[in-house]
Amino acid sequence: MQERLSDREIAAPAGQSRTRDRRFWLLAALPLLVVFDVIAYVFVPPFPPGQPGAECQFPVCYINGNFEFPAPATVIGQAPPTGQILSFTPGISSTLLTMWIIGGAMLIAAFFLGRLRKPVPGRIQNFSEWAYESIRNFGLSIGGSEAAPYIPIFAAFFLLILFCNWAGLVPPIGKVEFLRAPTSDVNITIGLALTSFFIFEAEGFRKLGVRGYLGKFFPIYEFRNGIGAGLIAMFVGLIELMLEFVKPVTLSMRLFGNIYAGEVAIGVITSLTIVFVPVALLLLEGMLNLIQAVIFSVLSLVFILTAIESHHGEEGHIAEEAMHGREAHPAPVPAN
Amino acid sequence: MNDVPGLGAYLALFSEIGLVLFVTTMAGALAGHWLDLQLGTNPILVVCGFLGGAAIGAFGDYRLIRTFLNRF
Amino acid sequence: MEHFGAGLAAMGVIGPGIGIGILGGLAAGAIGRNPDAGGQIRGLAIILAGFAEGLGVLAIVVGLLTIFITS
Repeated sequence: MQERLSDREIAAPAGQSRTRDRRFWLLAALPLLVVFDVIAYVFVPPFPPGQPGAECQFPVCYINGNFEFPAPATVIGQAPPTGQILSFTPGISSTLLTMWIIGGAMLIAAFFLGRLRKPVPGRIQNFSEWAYESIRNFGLSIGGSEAAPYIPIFAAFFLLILFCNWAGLVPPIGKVEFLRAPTSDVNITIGLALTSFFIFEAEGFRKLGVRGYLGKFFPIYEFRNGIGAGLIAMFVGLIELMLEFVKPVTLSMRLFGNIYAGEVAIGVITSLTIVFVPVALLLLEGMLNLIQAVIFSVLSLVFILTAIESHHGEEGHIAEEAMHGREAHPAPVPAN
Repeated sequence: MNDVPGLGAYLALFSEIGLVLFVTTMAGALAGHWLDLQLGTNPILVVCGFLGGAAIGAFGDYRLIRTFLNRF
Repeated sequence: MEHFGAGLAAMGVIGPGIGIGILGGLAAGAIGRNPDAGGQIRGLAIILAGFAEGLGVLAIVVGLLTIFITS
């Protein structure tokens, strides 16, 4: 029985000019790219930042033109004074503007995607359902079934940080004055980490009550075993309280360090080797940005789950499930 | 990716161990240096702060690994 | 001169790098030879890698302190 041929196969049978066309155009595009770069270099030569037309030597001036400083450029308001580490100058920076644009686009997309309710889904609805379900399954495999109320927070952190990280790799956003990747700025990553911190602290206080949550750090009942055991327990609780405040610091510094270092590396490599090598670095940075978004959201979810567990009785339960997947502890089947 | 259960948890743990130790040690050393400048005893408190910070960071790593493995 | 000291201190991260590499190789070989003990070997490897990484972090912190603490 003859197989049904699609229209494309009738027009050009398999093995002939179809694949040759694709490979041919790909191989022809590479010298065209080099020619385009040479023409651009001849007509618009690189100049030192701020002085168009001046002469530019090869390594140093090129790197200076592509280097990105840690402090973002200010769009509205006055620029903060240079040389100070901490200063308070209210204004709107380029990273904040980019974050509003990305957040606004995500809100509009979410609003319109939420209104698709067809029983037989079209392509867009199918894709958005698949995306949300895969994020949900990933979160449930990390946290177990009790992580189900916190999946929207997990998905929100993941998608926001993913798009904010990947925005730094899109060509205009590094070089235009008023656009910059939001998470390459210390202020924004500190804000995200503080948001996560307040969320898991508030969830802990809400689930266990004030006395229950503080009782996790300072177990008063240990004084029943003797004054020495009680004092040791209090000391350990004090250290645990200090470590609680280290968590948002590590969250923010990890995200900032990875994204900012990636941007600087792409800028320097692009200025030194202008074609073909930055593509490899762009793909590497794309993968690393995805991993950083996964790490931030997974750690936020694990911190929320650690904050709401009742007491030290089941200390290793949550993250052990995270390590060994759901098959290590299957949910108990109700007997009926 | 689905055949390694908990890959995201491993990635998170790997970066968290080093960073907790780093942040606590630096915080302890800088706090020791600030106290040094206030009290005048120059290199002693920096070293004390460094070691104390490293100890707190090691304790935090111990709790982190115990929460993630629950073995031994 | 502080920057030379910082560079020399940062070379102390070579040790943990070699250590974690050897540990990872032996752990992968052990899991390959005996896949049923995979969970225990994985747990032991993570703990020991955490120890080695802590020593590398201490070397980095010493290097940073020589730059930022000048008195």
